[in-house]
Amino acid sequence: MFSDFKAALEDPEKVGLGEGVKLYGLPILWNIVQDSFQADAEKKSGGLPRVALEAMEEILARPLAP
Amino acid sequence: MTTTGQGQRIYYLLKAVNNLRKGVSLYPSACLVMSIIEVIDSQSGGNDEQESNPTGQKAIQCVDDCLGFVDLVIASITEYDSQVKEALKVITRKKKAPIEQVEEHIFTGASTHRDTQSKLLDLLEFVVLSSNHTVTIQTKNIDVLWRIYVNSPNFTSDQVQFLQFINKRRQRPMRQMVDATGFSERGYQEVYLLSPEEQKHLFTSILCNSSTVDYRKLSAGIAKCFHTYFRLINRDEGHLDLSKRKVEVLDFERLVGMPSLWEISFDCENERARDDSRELLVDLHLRLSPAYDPKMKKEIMLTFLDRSMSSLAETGSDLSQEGSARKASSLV
Repeated sequence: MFSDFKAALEDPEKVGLGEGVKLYGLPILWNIVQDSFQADAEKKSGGLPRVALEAMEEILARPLAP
Repeated sequence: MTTTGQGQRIYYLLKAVNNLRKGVSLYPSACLVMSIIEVIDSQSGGNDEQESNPTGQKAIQCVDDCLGFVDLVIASITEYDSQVKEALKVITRKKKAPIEQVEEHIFTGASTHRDTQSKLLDLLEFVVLSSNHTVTIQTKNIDVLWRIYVNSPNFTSDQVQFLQFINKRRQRPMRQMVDATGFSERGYQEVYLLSPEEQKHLFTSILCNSSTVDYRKLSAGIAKCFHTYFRLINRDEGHLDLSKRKVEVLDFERLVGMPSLWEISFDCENERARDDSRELLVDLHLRLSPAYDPKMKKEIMLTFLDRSMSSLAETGSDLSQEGSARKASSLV
């Protein structure tokens, strides 16, 4: 695994680790936590990115996350 | 890779690491890096014997081997510092009203200044401690951190936050193997963010160097940092015994950093920094090891009195200066 990891760090998008990651809506949550996420001030200050980040951490912590 | 779940974690770990490389989305990326590595570690049960069972330490080591994990965090801190400086320039240029609550201000992304700063420092601590010091901060990066946070901080609160971080006492549970089935946690042991070599660099090359630290303008936080590392370095060098309730001086003549301590004790304008330094200075003279020859003890005390009196005389000759009278009486 960690030889893959090293290769992935050098070129993360081409290693294929992201295949099948659309489950649980992780890509959507990922987009929300990015600086580039476009939202009105109300949504941002209302803590939407923080809620999305907490959800991501929770999903990725599940023992059998697919 | 044992499960697809682990694959997803690694995927998002890589994406978060890439964000740190690019200096974007720093707060969420730092959070994700830490939480994913913690999950990888907890699910490995700390067992790194099998290649297919990665530990958090291994994950950190891998990132470090490829990118230099600490260098990456330092680059993120530097990048964020530049972003804040740039934002402040814009505010000045456009003659906007100054920021009232700096710590709550969002300079980039969706996270407040305080959250971003503290999370990046947390990440630095996490990388070093979770790797069991196989990854270290390195002396060159200590210079960078000192420059950013202490010599040219964007706000005083940044300096305070950094000094609290560097002065913080860290403990972790001691794990003991009870039987073949696992470990138990018994008591706590003190752990240090900086390696002995880094501690020595911070103390001798930065804190004891009057070209990097202005003793006259020293803040209470920097003075505390000086005292902390004075004790640590001199303990490690075998000049101080800190194991007893009160500090004991084993080798007074070879104490590292004494000229700087004298300078801070008499020249510093910050009353708290000056008083705390004097307290340490007096303690060092009063707590000489019983193994010391009484004649030698007396000589050390007389030298201390002579030097103190001459400093007092110097202060007294300049009584017209503001605060000098108070300074003189405090010395007596």
